[in-house]
Amino acid sequence: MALKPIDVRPQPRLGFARTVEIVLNGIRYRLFRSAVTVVVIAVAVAFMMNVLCEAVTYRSVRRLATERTAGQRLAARWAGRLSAAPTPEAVLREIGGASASDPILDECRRMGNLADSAFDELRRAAADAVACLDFFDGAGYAARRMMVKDAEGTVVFDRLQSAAAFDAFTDALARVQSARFPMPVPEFGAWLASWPGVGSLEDALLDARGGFGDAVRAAGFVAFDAATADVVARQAREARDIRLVEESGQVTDIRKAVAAYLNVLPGDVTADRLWRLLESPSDAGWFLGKLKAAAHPAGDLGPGRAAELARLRAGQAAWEVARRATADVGGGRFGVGTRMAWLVLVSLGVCAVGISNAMLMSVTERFREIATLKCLGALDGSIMLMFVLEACLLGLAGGLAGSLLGSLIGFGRMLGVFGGLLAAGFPFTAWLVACGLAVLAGVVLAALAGVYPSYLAARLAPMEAMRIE
Amino acid sequence: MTATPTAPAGTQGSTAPTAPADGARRVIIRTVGLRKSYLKKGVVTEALRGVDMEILTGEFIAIMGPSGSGKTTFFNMVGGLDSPTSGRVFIDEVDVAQLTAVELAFLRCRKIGYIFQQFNLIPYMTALENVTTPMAFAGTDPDTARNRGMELLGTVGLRERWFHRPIEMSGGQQQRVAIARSMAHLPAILLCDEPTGNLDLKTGREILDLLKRLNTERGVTIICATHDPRMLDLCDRLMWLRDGQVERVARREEVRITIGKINNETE
Repeated sequence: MALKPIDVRPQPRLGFARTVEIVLNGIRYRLFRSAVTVVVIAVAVAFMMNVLCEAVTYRSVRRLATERTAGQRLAARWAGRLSAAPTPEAVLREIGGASASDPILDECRRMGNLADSAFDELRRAAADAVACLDFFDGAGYAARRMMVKDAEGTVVFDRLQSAAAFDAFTDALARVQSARFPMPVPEFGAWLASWPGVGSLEDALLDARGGFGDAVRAAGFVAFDAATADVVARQAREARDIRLVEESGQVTDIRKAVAAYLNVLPGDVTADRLWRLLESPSDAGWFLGKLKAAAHPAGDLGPGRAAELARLRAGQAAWEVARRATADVGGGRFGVGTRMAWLVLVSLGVCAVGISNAMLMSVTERFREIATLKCLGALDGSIMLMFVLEACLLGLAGGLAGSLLGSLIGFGRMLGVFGGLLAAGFPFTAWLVACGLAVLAGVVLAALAGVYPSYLAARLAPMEAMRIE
Repeated sequence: MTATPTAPAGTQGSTAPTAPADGARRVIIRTVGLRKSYLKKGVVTEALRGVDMEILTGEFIAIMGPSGSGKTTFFNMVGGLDSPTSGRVFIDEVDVAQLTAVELAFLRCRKIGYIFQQFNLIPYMTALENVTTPMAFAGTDPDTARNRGMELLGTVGLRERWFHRPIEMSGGQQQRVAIARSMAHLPAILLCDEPTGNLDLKTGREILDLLKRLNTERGVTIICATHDPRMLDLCDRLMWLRDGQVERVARREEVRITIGKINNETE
């Protein structure tokens, strides 16, 4: 039988559908081994997903907590400002130290009924005055005594108005080697000359400040828009009522009564206990009766209001705790804080190593199969496509399983940390993005890890591949 | 160098390709000064040291020799599975070294069949899928491939077991599937590396008979690296390799007469 002469032509490529069929066939046959690979990938991805979940949760909770506690912090700041003694130094520092956008400036200008230009002048002078006051405060006792005798605070400036005192100050300053006065001495002289004007401006402000608290309340926090002013006023009222209740715990009679009511020792009556007691309106009614009996101020507290406050306070406390817990989150490479960003990167590394190892194993143990396929006429490209496809499929399965597992673990842990707050601040979009990233990482890493060994294997002459095994 | 035949006069020498009885036969494989050395951990091993050989179409050649004599290496060179360190391999006057990877794949797919001692079936494919894999690589449409695959399985007597996976079959059956696979494109050359090495006597005999049948009925050139003495009954020519060189080439008739003596010589 005569044979045709051998003619050599280029080998066609294996069709994609057929390649997929062969790959799926192979995975089905090596189900256990493929499952192990998938599990390895899933665990690696789950590790990363867990960290990502933590990161996105912290980020979301931090944003919410900052939002929720912003009102409280604003109210606390105003309360502190209103209760501070209105000394000239305090006012100077308040104005001199405030940034240009600080609402306090606006409030002060309105309080003092000052023109814009006059107020700007006051502000500049206040900044200089604060620098000088800092200098005198920071100077040692002996140096200070040499320079300004026993004058303190803004009295220093009044004292230095006399030429003799100013000369004495200049001499002393020259002698005190270590002192660095914040401005050149002649300039300071000129500034002192303008001081009485500043002083009168400030006096006007200070006079207005006498009724500052009332005025601010009456003005309805003019620096804020109406909505914010309402919020701040409400928060201020709440803060006051909460303080009233908590102070009552310090009154011996009330404390004893509550201890008897709760059947605990008086020493164990903590603020938390008190608030838990108040959560039920009937108990709150009893407590308010005790307040009245002890002649303790109760403000406009009623049983319903007390119970509401108790719930409110619990919520606020939780948010405050959450805010503190997430205080170090933010910034960093992914906006999740430097520490968290490192964790994410490290987990990505672990993920990469785990997947590479799994894929390397899966390719190298099949050198013989690759060699056989080459003997049967497979192109290098077809073999690589086969293995990369398999890697992608395993990576996809592992990535999906891993992101699910990681989400469960991650959000489970976050539920333990933040409890019900998580429901309010569940970062759904960020979670979806993180899931996508994790799956993508699984697929890409698996494909990358599969490319190199399959490239090596596909390039080997078939017999060498068999010999390696 | 030339491996001068040491056989008695009338032996088909490697440098004298003309076979008087087969005027129509062409030279299908020609090797010229074939050398191959492996470098492993800094030690150079010379597996082939200048082999010149010519093989005609339709011949059944047995390559014999002790282990380490270079049989498998020679076989790989001829099959385009490995590249020689120096020297050339011509398959039907085509220099294998000149072929691109894509053309080599074509050659391996359609023109050369391979049979291994380890069978090397793809474990996750059924017998039929194994047989049709080379056809898939060649771009044959699935229906044609299936029909031809069943036909080939019928030829090796495994038509009823087409859906079995390799692990569900005996060694002899696996080897028969491997033979069916190697015949997928009716190759001109069938390279067998110890085809009976992993089989018992009886199945080995069946495989050899099958090979012989393919040789006579289809005119396939068969090159068989083997230790199996039964091969002597089937082959047209024998080639002895020793230390990477052709020690002797002889026609079967000559060997049969002096078989005892040769054994004495080679052992």
